[in-house]
Amino acid sequence: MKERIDMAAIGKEDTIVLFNAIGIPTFICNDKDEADKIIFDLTNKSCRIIYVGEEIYEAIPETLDKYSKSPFPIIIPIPEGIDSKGVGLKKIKDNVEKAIGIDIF
Amino acid sequence: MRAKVNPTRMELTKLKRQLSVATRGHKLLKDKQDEMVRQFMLLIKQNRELRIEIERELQEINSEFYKARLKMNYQGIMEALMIPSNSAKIKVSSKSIMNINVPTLKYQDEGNIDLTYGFAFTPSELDSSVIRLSKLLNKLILLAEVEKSSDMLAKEIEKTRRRVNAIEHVMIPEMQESIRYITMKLDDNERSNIIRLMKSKEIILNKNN
Repeated sequence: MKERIDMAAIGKEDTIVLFNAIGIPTFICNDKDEADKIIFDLTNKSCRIIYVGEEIYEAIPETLDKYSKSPFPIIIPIPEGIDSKGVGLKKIKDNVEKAIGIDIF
Repeated sequence: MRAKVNPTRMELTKLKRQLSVATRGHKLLKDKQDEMVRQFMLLIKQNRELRIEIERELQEINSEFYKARLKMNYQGIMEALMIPSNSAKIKVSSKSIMNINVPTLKYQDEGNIDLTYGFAFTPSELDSSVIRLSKLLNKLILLAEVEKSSDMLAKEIEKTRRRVNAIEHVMIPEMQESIRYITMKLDDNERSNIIRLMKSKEIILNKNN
């Protein structure tokens, strides 16, 4: 793959494959080492946004920390399956607490 | 705690200058922090709303996809979704919020999405879930932008707050303490000098008499 990738999606379940149909390359992976490697490869291909399934997002805090300092890639969690674990909302809560000191939502 | 300083006039002027710089820096940083918090509040509100909306929508899409998967075999679905209709492209630039470079993304819309698989063997739920997801794409990109911005802002606010506190509660009191010490020491020296002069004058007068 020499083509530049703008966005990508990584997930555990096959619902993530839907993203493939709208032009976002998808990767199904099961463990965190694999996810870490995929994210590394994608970053080298100057990928901008990586959507990560919640379950994997929770499993790779070190990887997220590594990329949090630079503006790209943007790694954000999305729900897989029919119910959300609330990882995204928890992240918002953490940010509010970090910035203001208390959770106001 | 007072730092070890020499009680000299030169040291005193130096410290006074430092204090005025520190006070000005403190004010500036405080203003920066206030403004960043304001910006952050706007962003985080938007972020929260978007997040809730997208999660709800994605869950519905996923449940529809599950229905489609029930009606069709796994290979068939994978095959149908294998080929992207168009590759999603985004335009990237950055803007500055209080001197922090945050990314801005713009989705390059290429018109409506075409379904790239035959309709004969796929259930209608699959079509609708793909179409709904493609409509959601704009918001997904906006979410990425907003979430990253608020992430970076939160980190910067934390850093700035630490700096403000360090200046306000450590540096400035320390300098004031040092200045007080030096002025007291200098005054003391002055006084002892005067006393010495008075004493010597007295002795000389006594001798002359």
